[in-house]
Amino acid sequence: MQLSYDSEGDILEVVFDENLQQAEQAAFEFRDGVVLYTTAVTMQPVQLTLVSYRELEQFPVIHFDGWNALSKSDKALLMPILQSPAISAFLRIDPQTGDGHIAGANMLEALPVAA
Amino acid sequence: MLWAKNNLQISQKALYIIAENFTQREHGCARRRSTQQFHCYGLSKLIEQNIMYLSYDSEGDVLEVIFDEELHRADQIAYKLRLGIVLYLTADAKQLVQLTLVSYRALAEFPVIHFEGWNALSKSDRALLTPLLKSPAISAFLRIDPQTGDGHIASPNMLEALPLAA
Repeated sequence: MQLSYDSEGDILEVVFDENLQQAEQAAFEFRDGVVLYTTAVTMQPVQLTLVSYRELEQFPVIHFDGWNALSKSDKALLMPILQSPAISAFLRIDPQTGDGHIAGANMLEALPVAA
Repeated sequence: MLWAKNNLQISQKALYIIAENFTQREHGCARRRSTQQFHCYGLSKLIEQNIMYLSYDSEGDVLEVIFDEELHRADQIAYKLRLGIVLYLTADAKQLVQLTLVSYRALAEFPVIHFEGWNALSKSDRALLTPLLKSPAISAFLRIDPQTGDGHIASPNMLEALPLAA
């Protein structure tokens, strides 16, 4: 897993598996600027992009309107991915309400390379 | 060293002395002198002014954040923010003394939790506590929307980041 944080743009990109970057992908926008990319066929997480990461992390609760807009089948497919440690380290979404929060900002500071 | 308070005893192994091993750096982060590894607790002001301790009882899943040990003997007021989450302030100056979080890791799993105790506080208590809740010292551990009482428990990663953490 690779983390890339653009401090100017406040954009965190989490690449789960670089080898999958070339595969055909599906993008799921959970809310404006929060997008999960998975492989189109096997639904493996490829990348998570979080725009305004630190800003969003400040909020006690944020609403993932994009989650609520997903189809029932997409939500069912994504639920176990969301609950996996890889994703839940960065975001938590209540599948019923679409409310949740952004997590793991401390993680950036733990990285010597973090900007 | 054995530390006891309110009948809760925590062994030396479970007592992690953090702040005294850290030096402050910009962005509210701290650098451990011995390892040169960076950890951020968003607590620069507190670390600068005091020595802060974290104590985590892994069996009970209880995290205690002691903001200033010197204030422990002072008269205190306890504000119960929800079941098992209590903030202690000095009675007179309303300084942060301690934050206790029972079921810390369990609660941290939830995307949203409701702080019913927050909503039950008086308006004046909420006005008093709101700036404290927004301070780095508290918001490193919990976030509450003052309007709704909804929020979440933050930074369970912090425990993993500590070399001594169980």
